[in-house]
Amino acid sequence: MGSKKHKKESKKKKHRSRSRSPLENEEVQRERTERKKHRKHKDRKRDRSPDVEEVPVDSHLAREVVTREAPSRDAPVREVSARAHSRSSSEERDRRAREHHRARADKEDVSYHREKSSESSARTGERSQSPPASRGGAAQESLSVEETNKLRAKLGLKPLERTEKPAEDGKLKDDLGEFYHKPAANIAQQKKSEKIREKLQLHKEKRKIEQKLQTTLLAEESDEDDAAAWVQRSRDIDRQKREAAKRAAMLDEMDAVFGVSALVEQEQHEERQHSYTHSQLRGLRVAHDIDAIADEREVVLTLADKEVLADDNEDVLVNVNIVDDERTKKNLLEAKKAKSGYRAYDDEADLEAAALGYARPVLAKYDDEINKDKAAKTRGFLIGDDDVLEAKKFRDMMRQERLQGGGDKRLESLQLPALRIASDYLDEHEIQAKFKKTKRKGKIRKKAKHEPIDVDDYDAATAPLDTDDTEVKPELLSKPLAVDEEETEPDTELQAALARARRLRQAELAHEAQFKVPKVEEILERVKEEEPAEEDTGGSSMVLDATAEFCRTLGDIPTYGLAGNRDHHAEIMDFEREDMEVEAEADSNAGAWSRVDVHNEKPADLAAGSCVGLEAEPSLGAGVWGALQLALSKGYLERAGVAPQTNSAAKHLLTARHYSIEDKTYGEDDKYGRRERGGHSGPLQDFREKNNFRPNIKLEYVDDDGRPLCPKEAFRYLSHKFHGKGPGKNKQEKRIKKAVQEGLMKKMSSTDTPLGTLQMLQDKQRETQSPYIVLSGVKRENAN
Amino acid sequence: MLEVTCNDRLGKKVRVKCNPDDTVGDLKKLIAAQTGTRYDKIVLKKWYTVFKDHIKLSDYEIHDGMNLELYYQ
Repeated sequence: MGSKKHKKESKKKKHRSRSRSPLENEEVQRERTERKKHRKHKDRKRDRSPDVEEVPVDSHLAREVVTREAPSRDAPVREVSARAHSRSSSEERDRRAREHHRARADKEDVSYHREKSSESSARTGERSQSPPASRGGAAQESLSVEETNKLRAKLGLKPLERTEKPAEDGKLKDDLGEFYHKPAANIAQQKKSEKIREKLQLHKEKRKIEQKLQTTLLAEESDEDDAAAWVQRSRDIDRQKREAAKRAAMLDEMDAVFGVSALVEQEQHEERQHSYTHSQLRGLRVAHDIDAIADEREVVLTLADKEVLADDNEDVLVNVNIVDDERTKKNLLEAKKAKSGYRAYDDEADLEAAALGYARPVLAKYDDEINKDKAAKTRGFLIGDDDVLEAKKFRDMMRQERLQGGGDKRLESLQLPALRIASDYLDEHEIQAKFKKTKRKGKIRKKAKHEPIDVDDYDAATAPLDTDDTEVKPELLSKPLAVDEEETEPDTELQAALARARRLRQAELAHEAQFKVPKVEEILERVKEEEPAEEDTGGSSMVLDATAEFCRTLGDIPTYGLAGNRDHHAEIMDFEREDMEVEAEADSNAGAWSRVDVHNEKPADLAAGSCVGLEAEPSLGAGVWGALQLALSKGYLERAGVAPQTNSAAKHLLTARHYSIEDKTYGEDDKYGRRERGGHSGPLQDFREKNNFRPNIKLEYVDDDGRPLCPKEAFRYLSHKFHGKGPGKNKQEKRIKKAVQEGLMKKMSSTDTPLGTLQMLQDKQRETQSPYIVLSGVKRENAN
Repeated sequence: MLEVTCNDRLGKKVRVKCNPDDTVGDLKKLIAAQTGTRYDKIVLKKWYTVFKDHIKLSDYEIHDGMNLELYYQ
């Protein structure tokens, strides 16, 4: 068997050997040599007695043990041989594996001949199962149970435990042998059983249904009964009938004998008569309009069909013919409606109904569908319900009345005349309709032209106001006013005429006033007229406009006259005293613009030295007053600033009565004014830029002590403030020192040295009465 | 009875039958008998666990068919 396999193995080994370590390579090589040897052995037909292949494992193991137990002198040789066996050829290994399998399979049976077993296994082509041949890894060895047991005995261990068979009840013990495991349910089996069960169930149900449906058919029945049976049965039935009839007759006879039947009959008839009169029909609904039932005709009404299970099964009477008529009518109507298709607007009937005050239903076409029975119930009338009939009659009457336009209502159709295509040409009747020419009202205009408005005629006292109280007819109003070009002549002419008239009138008035006492009304009229004029002239009240206001503020120049060079009082000549007094107010306004009276103007008196620039310096020699004057003129002294104030107070008193300040901003911010103008006009006075306005701005910074700071210092100061971190101590000291020095510098006299040298010099000179001094050599002296 | 596979990955791979109540030392002796190495030179490992000689295989939860690493010291 083994030669082919052996080759394969060797090939594999070769392949592997490339990747193996050199040590293993050596081994492989050794193996090869051994194999060669084996071959040689084979060639020699195994002349050597202990063939490697036939050496039983036990023996080799035993030998091994022996070698280990007593390493004798030939140990190395044996070792090698043992090695050779342990790294045994593949053949041997295979066989051993097979042996294992065998051993397992039939447990104790070891008596099998090895060769035989090997042969049998080769024949069946069985592969060893229990020890999966380690194709991938290195050599693998495993001893059989027997061998192991022997080995164990040698090592002093107890023999191997036999693996217990799984219990007969199908339960498996776990690895420790403590617990039984329930075998897992076989899902496939479960499924199968379920399927079968379902099938059975199905069959059962089928059978049941079939049983239920099984009935004896007529034909089947007749089949089993023949004609004779049928005859028999029919005869039976006949006989029974006859007997019943006989019995009934007998009973009737008995009744007749006792006279009961007549009584009963009579009673029944009476009862019916009694119970069913027209009053019994009262309240029964007839499902037709009362008009549909003809007056002088007999109409048979029957009870309409109705649902047995309906909740309210009210009896309704109908006539079959009328019902048919109604149905046809309705069908016709619906057909018509369907033909007309969609109509956006209601037909006239609906509109009419709305006008008559009926509730106008929304989507009435669906009403029938939604509640059929309700419609049926409300339809028609109740027998004997006269009130309803009356009401209906009345309603109809009212309707007729309204349609005829009775009462205060007028019905107007909302339908417009039919539309036509407009034509470019006039119709006959359109041609006939003439356009009326508007008459020119020449007469009126002429009058106006010839008589300019005569103010005299409209004298309030004499002439009545010439307004017509006649009615203004609407047609007159509606007519467009004929406007003449002459009427819209330039205003200037009219203005001129008016002005002329006014002047004439005034003259006349003045004339009249001289001669006659005016009537009260006249006076009133005049007052009315003059009132607006008064405002213009001013009168006693004072109106301050922007200019006046400007002048007023000018008057308060605080420095004015402080220098004393504006002292008018001093300048005023004697002959002007009176004028002065008159003009006192105006001047004392302290307005800068004193009125210049051309007539009273006198030439400037140069001699008096009133010229501002060249004013002569007052002499000091004239006592205290002179000195004061000088001081004043130089500005050293301030004059008591009360004089202008007193004057202004007086002025205030004078002007307070009619004091009003004209709106300086021309109502720019005034909401009333704005409203008047509609809010869309700009300022009345356009903005004028002040070209020569140069604002005098001077930024000055001072420190905490009020000392002025130069820009650099100011920056530093601000910076310190901003950062919240002052300068250091040294810096501060330095600054203080500097400030002190500066102060000293300021205090220092400019004419002398700090030590007063000049003063000393002058003193010395005064002392010695000489224009010089002698500088001696000694320093001390000079210092003193 | 259980059978464990011991593999040093240098070419030795043995399958050893033993009892679960054998100690690791016994197993080592069995391995030594099969492979020819001295048992006191054998180290058995599973990952980083070095099995000690005096402990039973069942205590180490060594079951049938397990692979043990075989090292030498």
